[in-house]
Amino acid sequence: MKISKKVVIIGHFGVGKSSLIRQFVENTFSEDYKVSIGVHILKKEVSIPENNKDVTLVLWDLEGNSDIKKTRTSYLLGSHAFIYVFDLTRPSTYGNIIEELEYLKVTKSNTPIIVVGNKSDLVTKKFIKEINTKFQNFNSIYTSAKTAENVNDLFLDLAKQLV
Amino acid sequence: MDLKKYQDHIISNTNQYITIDANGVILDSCNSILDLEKKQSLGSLYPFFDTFIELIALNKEDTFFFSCIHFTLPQNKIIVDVTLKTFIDKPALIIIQDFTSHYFAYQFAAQERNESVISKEKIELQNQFLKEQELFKSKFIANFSHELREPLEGVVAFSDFLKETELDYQQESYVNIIESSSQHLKKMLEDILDLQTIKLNHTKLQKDVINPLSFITEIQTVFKAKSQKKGLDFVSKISGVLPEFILADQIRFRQILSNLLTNAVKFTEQGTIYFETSYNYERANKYSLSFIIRDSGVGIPKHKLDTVFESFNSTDSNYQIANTKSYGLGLSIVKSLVETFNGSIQVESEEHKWTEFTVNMEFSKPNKSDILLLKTKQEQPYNQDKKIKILLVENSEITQLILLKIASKHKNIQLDINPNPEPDKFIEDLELNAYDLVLMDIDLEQQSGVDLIYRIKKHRSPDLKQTPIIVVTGKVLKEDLQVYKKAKVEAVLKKPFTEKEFLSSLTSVLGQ
Ligand SMILES: Nc1nc2c(ncn2[C@@H]2O[C@H](COP(=O)(O)OP(=O)(O)OP(=O)(O)O)[C@@H](O)[C@H]2O)c(=O)[nH]1
Ligand SMILES: [Mg+2]
Repeated sequence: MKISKKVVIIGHFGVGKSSLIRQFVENTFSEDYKVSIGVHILKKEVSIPENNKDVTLVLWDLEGNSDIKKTRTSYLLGSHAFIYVFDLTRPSTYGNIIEELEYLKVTKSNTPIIVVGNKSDLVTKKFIKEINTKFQNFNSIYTSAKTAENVNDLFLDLAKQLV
Repeated sequence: MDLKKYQDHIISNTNQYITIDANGVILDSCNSILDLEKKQSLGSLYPFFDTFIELIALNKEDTFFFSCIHFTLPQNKIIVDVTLKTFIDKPALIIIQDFTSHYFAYQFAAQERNESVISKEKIELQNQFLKEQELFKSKFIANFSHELREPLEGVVAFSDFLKETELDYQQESYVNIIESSSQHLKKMLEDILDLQTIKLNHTKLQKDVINPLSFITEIQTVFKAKSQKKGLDFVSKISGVLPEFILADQIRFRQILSNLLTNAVKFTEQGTIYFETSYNYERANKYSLSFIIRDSGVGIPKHKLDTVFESFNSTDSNYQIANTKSYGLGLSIVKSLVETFNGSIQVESEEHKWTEFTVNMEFSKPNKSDILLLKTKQEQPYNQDKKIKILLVENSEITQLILLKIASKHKNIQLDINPNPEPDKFIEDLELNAYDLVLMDIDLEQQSGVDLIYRIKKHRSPDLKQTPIIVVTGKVLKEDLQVYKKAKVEAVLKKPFTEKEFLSSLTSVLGQ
């Protein structure tokens, strides 16, 4: 039987949500910033060789928002996982992240959350290490939609977690 | 016109109705937007609908609304709102409404908003980065120049020793060059340190009470003499009535004006040095004063005017070498200092003709207790002829010794000491001896000096009551000063004090 999982990608605007998905689904990247409004839905099938399974990830690329409580709640219905993306180069995108994650944890209990620090190509490894101490209690990964660093791993790990 | 027909036409073109079963299979569709076939799985065509299966499975009567959903169709892209209506044991209804043009306008607005927010954030980050960099630079330079001082001290000291040995003429001239170069270097290092400490805000600004008129007059006198020595005219002017007292860091304030006036004299070979002080206004307990310093000297080339206040701006080092004299760090120090006074400095100049600096500064208005402290600090010439009988109430032997030493130098001062007065006897003593002045320490062994002051100031005998009192103490916090003021003492002399300060406090209280 075919497994399909809804994954909602959230975070402030301009952090690279759409770029991450584009890199994962189409293997492309653009420097241009086209603001997303509402939601784009894309899907990609992922094979997990370990247990010989295929999963279709249905990726909901949401409009960026600086306050998670303002996200249209219908978008979050029936979600199997959340990817919370922030921009490593813009402190405003992770200033209130702990509260946001706690909120998600409470309102959508038992739904896995992955914290993604994106644009790793623009910061040093040392900086990432420092930032990471904030997210001890969360599943976190650092990606670059531009160089594709960790992008596949992000979605593959998530798929494994979901089956 | 058939309105109903129009309405139906529009609604049927922008609204689509679909029914699906519990597995998400299409039962029926009017296909006005999405081209669908019956019996297809809706979710496999458009993954957005995948989640509907779970919602339908709840088997409840309910409505779910999804706005601003993007769909990519074979020919175009559309943005729609979707409503899902679920029923008990009945197929679910999906209503799709096309709002593409409406959402396009929204996208446009969001694009502008987000881009401007992000670029503002970037600028802020950039500024913060630059500030941190500047701070790092300042710290580095301050530390570095500090490190350089010690070896330099060695050069200075040993070239001095070298000069005292047997040297031939040529050797001596070399040593002289070493000496003057190292002096020059030392001065530069001091300037750098000065500049960096001001920039790093390490300089704690003193709040001295200053009488601006006498302060400016003194500066005028000094620079009149310097100008005349070089054969220059010195013209000074004070416009408006200066406030009686202002609060300012005396050393820093003097540094600003002397620096500019020293430059003016240094760069002028003939003509006039002009120095003007103006009172601008008083606003919110602040006085605004401005100063103009103009010379008829070498001037500053036009292309240097913009950078003359920057530190390490010697991009045009030719000018500096050709002119051997240069402003060096002096002007950057002046600018940083002026900024600590909430002020500004401007320069105008015509090369080979004149240069004019205009400085605007703000000064706080002192409160009464500040002024009280000043009265004793003002350096007034001391009249040696008048006989003065002073009682010192003080238990510190050091202070006793210092004052005795001073008194012994001045034949007109008679100093009696009472280290530990018993209150009643103390008053009797005062009445008997008719002192011209009481110097009162506050921390006495058995009682507080303040109590004794009250006994004097509240005494029924008018003569005794009017005996001037100078408090001699190290306790000069604001609260302390308020206590002394309330007790109506004439002045406060702050420990440790110099002979000059002591004498001028006498003069200020007793008059000439
Ligand atoms: N250098 C670099 N730039 C990136 C990266 N990811 C995204 N960007 C750039 O960041 C900008 C925003 O990317 P998007 O993917 O549109 O961001 P978003 O989170 O989808 O933004 P919203 O849709 O407004 O919420 C674009 O200009 C991208 O080119 C990355 O990993 N490295
Ligand atoms: Mg986006």
